[in-house]
Amino acid sequence: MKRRCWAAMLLLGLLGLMGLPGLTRPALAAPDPNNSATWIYSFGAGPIEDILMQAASAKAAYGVSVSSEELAAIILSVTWPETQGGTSKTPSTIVRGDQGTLSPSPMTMGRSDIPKVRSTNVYLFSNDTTSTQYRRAFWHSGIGAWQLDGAGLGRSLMADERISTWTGGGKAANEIARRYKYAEDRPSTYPDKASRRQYAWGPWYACRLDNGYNIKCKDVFNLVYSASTNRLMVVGETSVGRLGGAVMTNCNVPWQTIPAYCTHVDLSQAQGARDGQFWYSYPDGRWDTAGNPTKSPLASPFYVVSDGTYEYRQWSDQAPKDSGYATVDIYGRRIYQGTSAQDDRVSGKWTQTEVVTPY
Amino acid sequence: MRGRPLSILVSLAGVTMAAIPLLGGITHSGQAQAMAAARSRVSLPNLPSRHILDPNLFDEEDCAIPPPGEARRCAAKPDLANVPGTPAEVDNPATTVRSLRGFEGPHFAGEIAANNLILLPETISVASEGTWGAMGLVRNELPHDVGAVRVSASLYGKDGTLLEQASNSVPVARIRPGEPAPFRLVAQTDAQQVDRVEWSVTSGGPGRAERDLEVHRYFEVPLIAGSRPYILATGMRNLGQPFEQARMIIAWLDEQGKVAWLETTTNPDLGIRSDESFNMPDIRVDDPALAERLIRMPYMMWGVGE
Repeated sequence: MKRRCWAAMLLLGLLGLMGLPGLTRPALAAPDPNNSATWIYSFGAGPIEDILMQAASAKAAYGVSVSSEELAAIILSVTWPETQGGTSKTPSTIVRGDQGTLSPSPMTMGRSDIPKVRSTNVYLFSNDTTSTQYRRAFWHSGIGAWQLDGAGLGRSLMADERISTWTGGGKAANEIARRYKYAEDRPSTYPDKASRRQYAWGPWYACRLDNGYNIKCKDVFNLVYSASTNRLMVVGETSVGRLGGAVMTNCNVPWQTIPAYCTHVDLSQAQGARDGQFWYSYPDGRWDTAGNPTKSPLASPFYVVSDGTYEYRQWSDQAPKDSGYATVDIYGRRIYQGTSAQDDRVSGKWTQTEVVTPY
Repeated sequence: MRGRPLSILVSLAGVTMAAIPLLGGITHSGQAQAMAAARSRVSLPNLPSRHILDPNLFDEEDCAIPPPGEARRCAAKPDLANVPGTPAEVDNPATTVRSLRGFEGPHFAGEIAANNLILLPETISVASEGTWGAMGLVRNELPHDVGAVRVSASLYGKDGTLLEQASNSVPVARIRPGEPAPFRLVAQTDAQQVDRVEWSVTSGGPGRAERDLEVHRYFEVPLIAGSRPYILATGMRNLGQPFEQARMIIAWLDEQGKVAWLETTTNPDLGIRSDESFNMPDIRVDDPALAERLIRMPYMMWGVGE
């Protein structure tokens, strides 16, 4: 009994010493696939199912060898760094609830598209000028959990399709699966899964190894996927749905007599992470003393509708609180498919009138 | 291609060029009438529909395939008479930015008239300090593909002496009707000695290269002094036949629409199969002054499979 007592006291003493400064703390335990309480990252519960299905579809379409679950993990790993930016935590210190682990909002809107970064970003501002008095009639380009951009992978998708974890997530799934397969088919250059994943993440800056982020996509992958059990380790957040707060509805449009399908995008209703420093603060944008934007405005509520060729985004005065501009209607449109699909940053797309009204 | 940037870019508009018939856009009235009569539409190399690109996401009518249990929501084809107009949607090649197979940018003409390879003088920048050099665009205004295109410039001094002939091939191996393509010339002659330039553009057959490519910009980030160069990341998808090696050519346009810089990036992986998507090596620029200019300028992209 004495021996057990001494052993217990020794153990307690050691545990006490561990709390003293100057001694190394043990690393946080890795997520356990059989214990969801240890999981770190969250994603919308329904959207997780979307990605699992789209991963299975992309796997079948492009013949990647990894399982659907592993491919889903590769696809999801992009979203936290892309939507929530860098973090001061490291892979061994980050815990659930930290910035960067929250459920990405499907309505995440990019705020870095300002003319100072690229001159053609001026066309995202209404009337093609940063001097517009209607700042919040702003045409976001990087949209959604994968930040699909009209200059790149999001060119043929409308705003609500990029928001949707089904369609936008499906597009990300296809693009990642094709690149993974490309790397898989060149084992002398991409000899292992890690190098193939890194190749598949090529379109996303947040996944780059030299981006300076403490936690990159490769780190997220190791924390959200259990290779031993082939299982996703992601907390399903029931408050975040496929559209992240956007609402499918119907709208009156001039080109048809019956109401058209449209989507109402109200960013104040965004579900999921709204990190104040990065995505949802400063709704009018941030501006320097010379009147140049340093962070883009955040769009006030708008409708998205298609006529089959053009994507329209309408800021309507039907509810003045909606657009924020009583008695002013503004819409922008751009070709999103068919002949010469256009980048979001196309000039001359703005008109001050109303073509789309709620049904 | 990397080199010292042209330090001062001067429009060629001030140089006598009207007498050179190969310069489209600068014409005498008789020539203008002839050109107007010969205009013909080109078949633009449009990208495939969404259904073709992602058949598991979009149906045959290019509508998003809904999730299980949800109804299809598809835009009806519009009554075109009631589609609202927007300000001035005129097809002006100089300003109309197109996303086409193997190309993205302005200057791809929907109609051709010259029945020749032409220079686009409004896009040509010329060094007026240091050694002579020029960058700009040619355009194929023939009704068929051209390859092995070379641009030559004969440089003459004030006394009419031929100082030097600079010549270079256009890096786009097959140029389609209506398509522009970039060139860069470098000479040994001091730019200030050049009084007059005579240009010529030649080609050698239809050219062989896969152009059925979807080109993408992934992202572009500015230079951060001491920690990150300017980076332009791009990629492609092969929508056509297999080919050996992929090349992306990028031309940046300054505030006057002149070609201010050219870069080429080549995929080191050989043997590109049909329907493969792949990343191109980054364009990286460490020169702070050049990087500062590039991040602000629009650019054109050509994807070529050789």
